[in-house]
Amino acid sequence: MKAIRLVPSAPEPVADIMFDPCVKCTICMEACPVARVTDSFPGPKMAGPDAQRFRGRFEQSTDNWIELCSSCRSCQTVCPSNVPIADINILAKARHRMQTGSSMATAILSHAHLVAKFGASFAPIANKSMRSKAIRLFAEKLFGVSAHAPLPSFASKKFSSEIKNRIISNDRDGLTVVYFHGCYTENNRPDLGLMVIDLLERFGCRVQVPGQNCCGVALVGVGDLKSAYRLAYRNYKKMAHVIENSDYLVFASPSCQLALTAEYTELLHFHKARIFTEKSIDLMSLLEHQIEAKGVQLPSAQKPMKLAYHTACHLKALGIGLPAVRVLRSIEGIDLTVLDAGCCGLAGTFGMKAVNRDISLAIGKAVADRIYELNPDMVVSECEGCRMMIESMTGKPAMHPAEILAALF
Amino acid sequence: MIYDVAVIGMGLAGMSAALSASEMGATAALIGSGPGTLNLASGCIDVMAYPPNQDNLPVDDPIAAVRQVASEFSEHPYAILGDKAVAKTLSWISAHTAAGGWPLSSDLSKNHRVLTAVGRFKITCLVPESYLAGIDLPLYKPLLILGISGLRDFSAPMLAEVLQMKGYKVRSTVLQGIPVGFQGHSLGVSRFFSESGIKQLGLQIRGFVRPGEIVGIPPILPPMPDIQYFRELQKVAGVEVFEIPTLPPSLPGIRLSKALRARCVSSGVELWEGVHALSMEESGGKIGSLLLAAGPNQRKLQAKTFVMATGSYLSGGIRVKGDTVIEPIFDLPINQKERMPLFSTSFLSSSGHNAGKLGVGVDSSLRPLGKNGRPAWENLFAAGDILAGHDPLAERCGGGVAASSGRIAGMNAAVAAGKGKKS
Repeated sequence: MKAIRLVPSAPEPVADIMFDPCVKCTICMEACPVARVTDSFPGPKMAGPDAQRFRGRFEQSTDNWIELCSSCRSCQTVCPSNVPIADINILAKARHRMQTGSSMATAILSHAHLVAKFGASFAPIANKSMRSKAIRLFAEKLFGVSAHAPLPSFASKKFSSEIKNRIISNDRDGLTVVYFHGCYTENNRPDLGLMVIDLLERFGCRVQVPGQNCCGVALVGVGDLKSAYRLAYRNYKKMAHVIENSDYLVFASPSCQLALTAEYTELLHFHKARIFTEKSIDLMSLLEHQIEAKGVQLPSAQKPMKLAYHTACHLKALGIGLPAVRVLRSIEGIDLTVLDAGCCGLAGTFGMKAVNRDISLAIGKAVADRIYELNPDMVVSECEGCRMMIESMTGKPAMHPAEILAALF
Repeated sequence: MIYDVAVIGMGLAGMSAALSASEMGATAALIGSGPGTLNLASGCIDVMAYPPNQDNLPVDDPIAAVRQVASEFSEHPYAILGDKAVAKTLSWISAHTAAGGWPLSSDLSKNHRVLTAVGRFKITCLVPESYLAGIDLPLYKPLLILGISGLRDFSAPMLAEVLQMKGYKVRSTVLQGIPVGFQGHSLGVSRFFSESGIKQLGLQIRGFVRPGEIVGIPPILPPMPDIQYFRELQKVAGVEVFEIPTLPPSLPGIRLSKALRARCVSSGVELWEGVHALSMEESGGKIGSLLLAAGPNQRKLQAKTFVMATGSYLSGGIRVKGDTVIEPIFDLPINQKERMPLFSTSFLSSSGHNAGKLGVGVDSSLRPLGKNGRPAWENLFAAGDILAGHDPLAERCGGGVAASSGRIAGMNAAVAAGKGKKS
């Protein structure tokens, strides 16, 4: 019999973040994608530092509009005074949730890792149902999951089983890296994960893929901090000992990286996760580093390509610049334009809820308009959510930068 | 990647530095925690209105005032930059904002009086096209001030009353039924102003206005740097219309900031958003890299040269620690002792406070000075509000100093990185 592993319970979310450094400069109000398109949400300053003045540390937030914060973190990214505005809003959401509970759509979408596990096991049926208009409309009526929002289709074989018998290269000179692939790669795009491993190995890394859970970014986003804490704990248990003996913990998805390296410690107070923060690096920065260190000349593109790059909000929140832009621009034959048109509107599971669908589309319009204007061959972005949204809005193929790189070889 | 130039600060000085460095062919990174105070300002570029040690009257010719300040005050940034470089920068920056969709007037010969929401006049040099009809208002010109019901940042009746006391022929009307958003600020109004809304506003203006009147409105047109919205409004209204600057969130400031940002992005400047620069690391007698933080995540950035456009107190370029003022990233000396007392006895003193003049001293190439009075690092340059010796609030010179020192620091940094020729 398997021993029952006890997960320590998560600390109760307490709204104890300092908001005093806020000087009411209004810069975050301009940066908020949600407030830009709806006046049902007062904007990050009023929802965060302003409202926090009137919330006791253990009090419930009584404002329903807090649910309209999409957790994109743009406010926190632009704050000149270092106020963790997004964290304040997520904690307010967590306390609001304790009072009102979650809607069906929120519960389903934030536990997407469980839904996806199930979906991937029945991929052919699940994919067919997701393409059926009638079933999607039914799901919208029943669960509140928008019938029109982009949902990823499931792969027939999961990433973890694809790599089950993989032989880890024995290159002793190379870097040892742990790859955190995330649920999307696991259930929806295992081929992307294989490309990532292939690129890492090509540029001199020994790649290990220990067992892992969902990062929990969607749970944090809706304020379900307890469930997120359980995932954080499990990820630590499964990966920490491998990471300790490795050079880097590498991510291809900015949202997963943000959860493990920032949200675990700052919001969940799971301080052991510092090891994730210390060892983490994004895929493109690591590849760039290896390409430079090894003096590799990247081959030129097979045919000239016009690319448009979309900056994911969570990539901005990581504060790493635009490594994909640097790498792709160094390839001959690639003409890359940075869109710089703001948030795509999906914000993870936010835009998948039927109630948020209109807001989501209105936010994404600026990105879609800019893409129509440029008319690129492809759009590039690290974030899987952004790619789904952009494909569904514009019909243009949207790729991870690793896919563009992998196609060179 | 090792950048040629890394610029810290995304305000007017930082964006000018990054743009000019990339024009010289340098690879540039623009690092910042947000769009800087440019977003909060009036959208005008002040050059010099009240030179230090003069009576409390504004000067007419900004460039002549720059020349005079340059000759009399050797510590003023203008003494290092010179009036020619300032004049050249102003044409350069208006060409950039115009290409970004948001033209500024390019008349450098004269300071203008811009009407503000409380009825005072702001003395400034470059003004956005949407202000032009309302600058230097003569007393004989009849005015109509339009307010919006529910917009809390702007009271048309109050402004009209203040102007009446000053002798203007003015009346006001408050428009009803325009959605003002959750909080009733100008940003809220502007966001929900569709193209048809602009047409309707134009038609309303046409209905209210009497022959000969010009019309002042709060800044409520969309926050994008696109002058076409304004031109459309003027066309439909059939009269001259002008915007009146209000409190932050300041739409004209946001538009100016976005126009320059778009220019940076299209010139290939790489934005490092959401990061605070913590400290630097030395490498071979030079600055080798910066340590950057985004929350708990830290990252190093390497470059051949660095430009600090980190601003003043509000942006954290200089900080007050106990009773001393420090420069937190490079630990440069601030020369606080030479400027005691830091504060004038009168809070709203027209000559400002000495605290407003604190910053880092620089050599003739804009390299900040160390404790021994020599450049602290050969590959570090400074621009904007961080520069010692000028008081942007009292002198109304912040924009001119920021853009000019930014452009020159960017060029000098690019040259030091081995790109282009020195100016």
